[in-house]
Amino acid sequence: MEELTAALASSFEVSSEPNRTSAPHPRYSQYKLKESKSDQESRRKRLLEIQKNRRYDFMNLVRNLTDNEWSHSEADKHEEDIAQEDEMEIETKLQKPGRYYKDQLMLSEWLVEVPSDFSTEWITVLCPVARRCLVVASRGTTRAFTKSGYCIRSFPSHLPGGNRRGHCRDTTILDCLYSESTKTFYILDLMCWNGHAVYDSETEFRFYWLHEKLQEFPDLAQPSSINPYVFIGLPSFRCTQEDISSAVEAATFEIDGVLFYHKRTHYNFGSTPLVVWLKPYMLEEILGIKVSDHQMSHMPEGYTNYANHMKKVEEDKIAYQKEKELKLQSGVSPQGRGRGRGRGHGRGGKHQKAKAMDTSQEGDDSEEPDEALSQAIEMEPSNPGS
Amino acid sequence: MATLAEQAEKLLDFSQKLDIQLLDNVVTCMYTSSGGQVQRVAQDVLTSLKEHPDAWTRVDTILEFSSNQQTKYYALQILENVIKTRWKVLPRAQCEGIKKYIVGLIIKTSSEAALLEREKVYLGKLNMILVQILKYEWPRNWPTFISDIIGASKTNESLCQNNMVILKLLSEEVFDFSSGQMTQAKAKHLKDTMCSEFSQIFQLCQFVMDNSQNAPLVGATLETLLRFLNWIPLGYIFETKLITTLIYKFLNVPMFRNITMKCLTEIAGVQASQNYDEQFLQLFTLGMTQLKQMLPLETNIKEAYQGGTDDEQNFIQNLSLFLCIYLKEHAQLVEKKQELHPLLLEALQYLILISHVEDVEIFKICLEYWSSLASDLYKENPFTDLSSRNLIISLPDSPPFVLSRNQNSDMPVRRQLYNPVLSKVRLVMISRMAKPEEVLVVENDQGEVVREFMKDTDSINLYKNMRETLVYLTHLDYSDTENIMTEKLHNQVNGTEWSWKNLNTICWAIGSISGAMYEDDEKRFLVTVIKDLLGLCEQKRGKDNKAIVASNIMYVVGQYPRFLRAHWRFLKTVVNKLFEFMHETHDGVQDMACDTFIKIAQKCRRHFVQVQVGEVMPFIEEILNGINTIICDLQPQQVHTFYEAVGLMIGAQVDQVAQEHLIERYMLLPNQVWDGIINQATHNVQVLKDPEAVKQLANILKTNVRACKALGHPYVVQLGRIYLDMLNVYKVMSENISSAIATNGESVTKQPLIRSMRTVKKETLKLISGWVNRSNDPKMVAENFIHPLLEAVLLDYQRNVPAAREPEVLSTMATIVNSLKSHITKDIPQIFDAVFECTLTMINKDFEEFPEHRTNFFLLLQAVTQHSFQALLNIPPAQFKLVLDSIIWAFKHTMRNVADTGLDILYVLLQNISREEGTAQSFYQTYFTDILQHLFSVITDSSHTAGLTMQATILAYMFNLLEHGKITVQLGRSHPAAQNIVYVQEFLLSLLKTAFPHLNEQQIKIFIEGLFSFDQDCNALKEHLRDFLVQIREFAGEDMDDLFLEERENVIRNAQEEKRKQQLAVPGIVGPHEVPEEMQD
Repeated sequence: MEELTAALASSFEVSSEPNRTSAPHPRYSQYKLKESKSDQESRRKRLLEIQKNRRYDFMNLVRNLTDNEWSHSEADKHEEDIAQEDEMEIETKLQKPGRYYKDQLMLSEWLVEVPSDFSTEWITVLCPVARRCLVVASRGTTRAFTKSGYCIRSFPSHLPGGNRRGHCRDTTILDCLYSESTKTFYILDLMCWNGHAVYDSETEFRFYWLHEKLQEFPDLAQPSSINPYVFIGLPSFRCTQEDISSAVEAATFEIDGVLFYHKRTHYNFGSTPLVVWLKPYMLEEILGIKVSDHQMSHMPEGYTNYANHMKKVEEDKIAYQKEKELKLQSGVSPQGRGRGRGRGHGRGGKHQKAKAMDTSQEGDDSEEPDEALSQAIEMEPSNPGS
Repeated sequence: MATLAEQAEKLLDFSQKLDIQLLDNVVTCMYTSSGGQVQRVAQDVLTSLKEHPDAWTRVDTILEFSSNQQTKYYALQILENVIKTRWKVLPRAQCEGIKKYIVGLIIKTSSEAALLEREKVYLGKLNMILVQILKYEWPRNWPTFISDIIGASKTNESLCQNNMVILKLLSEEVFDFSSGQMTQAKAKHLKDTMCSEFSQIFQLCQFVMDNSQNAPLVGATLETLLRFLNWIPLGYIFETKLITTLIYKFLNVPMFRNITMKCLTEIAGVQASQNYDEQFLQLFTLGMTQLKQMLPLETNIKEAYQGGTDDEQNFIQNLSLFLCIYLKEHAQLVEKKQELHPLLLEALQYLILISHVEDVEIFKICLEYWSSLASDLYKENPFTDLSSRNLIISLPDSPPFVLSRNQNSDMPVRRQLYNPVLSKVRLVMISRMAKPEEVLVVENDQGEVVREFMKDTDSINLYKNMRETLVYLTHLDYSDTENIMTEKLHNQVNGTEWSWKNLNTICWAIGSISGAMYEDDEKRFLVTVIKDLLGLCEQKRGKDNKAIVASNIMYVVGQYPRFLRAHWRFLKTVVNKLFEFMHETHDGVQDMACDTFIKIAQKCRRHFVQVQVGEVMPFIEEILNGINTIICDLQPQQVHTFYEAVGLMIGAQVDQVAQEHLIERYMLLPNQVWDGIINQATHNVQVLKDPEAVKQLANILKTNVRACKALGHPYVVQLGRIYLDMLNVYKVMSENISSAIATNGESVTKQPLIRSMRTVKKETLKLISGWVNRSNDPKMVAENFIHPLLEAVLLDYQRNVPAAREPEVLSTMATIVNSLKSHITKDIPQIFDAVFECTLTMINKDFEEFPEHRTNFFLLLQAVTQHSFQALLNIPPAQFKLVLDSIIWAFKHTMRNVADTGLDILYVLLQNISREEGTAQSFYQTYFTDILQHLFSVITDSSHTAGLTMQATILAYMFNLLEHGKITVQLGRSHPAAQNIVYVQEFLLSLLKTAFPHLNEQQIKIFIEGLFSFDQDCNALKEHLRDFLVQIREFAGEDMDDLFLEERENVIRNAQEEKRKQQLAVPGIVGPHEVPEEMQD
């Protein structure tokens, strides 16, 4: 049964996205997640190589997004996403965007392997708690779309192309985080400004240019009738321990997580190892950066990592065997349960709660009804340790 | 054109000779010109001509001299009309004339084979007219008809062929289509006559079958025989050589095999009171033997059907019907004879082969048989031979129960016999399992594309039947079912049968038997299935393929809540995986994830609010902690489903305090947005005109509606938080809409912003009525929530223009009355004042306008009448009259739901008011006869027959009131109260005489008598009314025999006596002065 659960948790997927952020971080997951054939680092190197040679008609894409006209699109029609023989190819292949505003964004993977050039070749961006969306300003109106291409809202804005009165007529495409409570679009990245597409420019340039443009258009940051939703750029930082640490300290909003962009990556579609993500409470374990208690308090209860989990499984098994022997010897009714054991957390876990346990979930096929709950006996807590 | 009209007038002048040429022209005009003035004029003329009482006198001329086929048909229509309505007022001589004329014409046209073929359509119409005549003339005025027609048939083969057709039509008119077309008495009379004259007919048929070489004639004879088979005395079927003739002579002839098969099927289905077992067995053995020669058992029937002609396809369908009906009725006979078992198995083999044919109708036929076989075998012995412990039996749709161990481990004999076939049936079911759900993609009021789940389609019903059958089959042999499924699944994995359709089918099949196996076996089976499917998902490349497999995995998992409930870690992993899928952009995956999530939430809710073994907190808390992240990529409709699912979980928390905390956290996100908008609006009310803000409000309200649906009464803690603000928003929306209409006119209601605002109002009402409906403390609701609601809602409804009034106001009021009952009585006057008259004005102009308001208006009235009757008694008399008028108005609708509601309300009203001593009497005095009159106007109107049952019920009730002396006031000025019954009878007599002057007074009197006699038996009363409806259609004339009045009177008298006997049996029912002498001691 445990095997089945593990299989369901790890290798069951529709899109093959290694280290996807919708799943737990591999190091923190209860189950050993499916490993990609090649590790994060080699995929990064490979992608940086092949993006140089890519020939994709970005102007056509911009036209598609402007007119919502997709019949002449090179974009992925899905039905053509036919069997690729080698899985390796999928992971280190540059994906096409989807049609009808779908799959237009560059999505991150979990930071699993810290690259050797982290402090020199990477950029930090702090992300507020907000909803990721694609923003397209064209033909006099500004529209925000979900990853699946659903139009959340449309409204005027000072973005070029985003209102009917403006002088600038051409299209602007942004990658944003929308915060409902503050009615603010936080701009993560830039794909096209006033008709100039920068998909195939490096991150460092895109961020620089975005910054410049935002300074030219200060009205974007002010709410008004023609700009009801505010657009604010997100600051970026260097990837040294001190810079990251102080950025987190000084953040003016609640941090959902931290993105790290490789300076040289173009704007690629779909998930890529060249943009990686961590939650604040993971910074210490993965990067050795200490954060405040407040941040650490967000770590979910019962959080563990895989290594711990396997240890627990072993311990439980041994305990269960011992129980069985004891019962057989003493003829105790089979209703009794094993020793109490708490399920602890990852290393340095701050929240230990002794919890009523049970015997193994793996291997014991017979009755495991919820009535067990009522019969659970609270025993002395044991320190999970690591 | 003008000349045409002038000329056409000449046609209507019966003093002149008919100008056939002109008539032909006019008819051609009407049929060929494509609309416009000319055609309309032509049509008017022809209609007037048809309706002229003397029109029929022209018919013979037209038929003889017209060269235009259309004109002839037109003439026949005139003739048919006269026969159907005025036959009885025509002079006798003319009836005879018409009879002779038609007979002559038929004989002339059908005596020669070539002519018969050429004039088929014309002849068909002539035949029909003859049959219409027969319905009046036979047997009384034409006692020799049967012998005449038989005699004529012997002289000429094509004449005989047409006569067969006539007999067939007559049989159908009398036996199959008589209900509603003839009075019961007449129908009975004709049936009796036909039975008694049948032997001549049968002899003729036999003669033809034995001797004729004329194929069309034989064909017509068999067709006629088929119609006879459902009513002729059984001796003709079983005590003659009919069956053997059919099987040996006609079954294997391609031209006749279909009709012969149908005849045999009809025979197989006969309900015989006598013992004809031998004959039934003979039918089977001879039939099967013949069939095996015609259609070898090795034939691949599925392919044969696909490539077959229409005729061949029909044969297979007819064969399936025959086998299914025969086996259903008579299989036990065959089972008893050991030597016939191989033949039985061969018959079943045929059915198996036919079950694979790709045709839904044929499949349904076979399914019905398999279903009854499986359930029979199971029910006769619900024990299996595998058990070594207590059995847990799980039948579909009922809770499991335990049976004690059965010592007898032999498989029952019948089951042994059928066992090999059952395995094949299992394969059929599993390979063809139907789709369990149907989702329609539609556009809603806001122009958004949304998904709607269909409830009662053909496909879903097919699934239900197949599921039931497969469950029984599983109980009959668990391991065989499991093996077949496992193997089919392997064939998906190894690619031999891989396709999306096949995968879906096998997973639907697996999902359908949930709960049928023992829990341990089920677990083992599921583990294998899910493992295989997971492997399949990994093996497949491309998102399309993976998505299909993923959907199927989640479908199967969702179908086995028992498994999920028993394995928490697995359940948790499934839910987490669903959360992952809620970020997947591939088409349909997010929808699938949300649908599965709510399905699982419904079935496993408790597990999410309790702390599970190995966890530190209930999973609901983990969900609420991360809710933002989970739903951030979902569309609004998906978010709503998600919220409903989570609400279901929270609803399972029994600790009220804990539950309230959960609710607070659960509604945190939407409340944040809500608060934001409300705050803004407090500073600047114009923000409530911003389209985005209004859309958001509507969205939040929709989320609340789903939360309320899931939580039920406990939702009150959230409702209280937003209630007053919500009503204020409602008021502002109302004002905005009203002023927009005032400035720009009614057309502004079509604009998106106004529609959005109305959605906000509608969702508000939906939310409130949804909660009131689910609340369990009517007093608390009435005291705390009602007044602000009425204040916000009623005045706006009244003042607004009709186009902007929300029909949901009425339905919400109805819900409130239904739920709060007597607690709301004191508020009814206020409600009525606001909504009653203004709505009535909207709907009393015709029967169609404002359909939603119409329906809801009467729902409100129904609620008040049923649950808050006191309120009705307290309103002023003028308003009460309006209420009664509107009820009457309701049941005059032909719109089914409105008419039904109207009748229901009337019935409840009458019942309730009979309990109110003083008020009742004044009610009867003022309204009793009025109500009767209006009731009769719908009863005698055939467009209202759909409501006949309810109309009869109410009528019966009213007459019972009369008969039991419940009406003590004087109903009529001419008669004292004690003679109320007499007064009513006279009232009805004059009413009906005036309304139907073409009926006989005697006829009407008997009808009225019957009303009283049958008032204890609603069904009989209904049939009595139906008879009257038939009679109204015909001019009664002087000749009364046709009305079978005497027979009718007998029936009525008998009913009256029965009634009396019953009454006498109950002491005291019959007053002392009415008890007959002999009963007194």
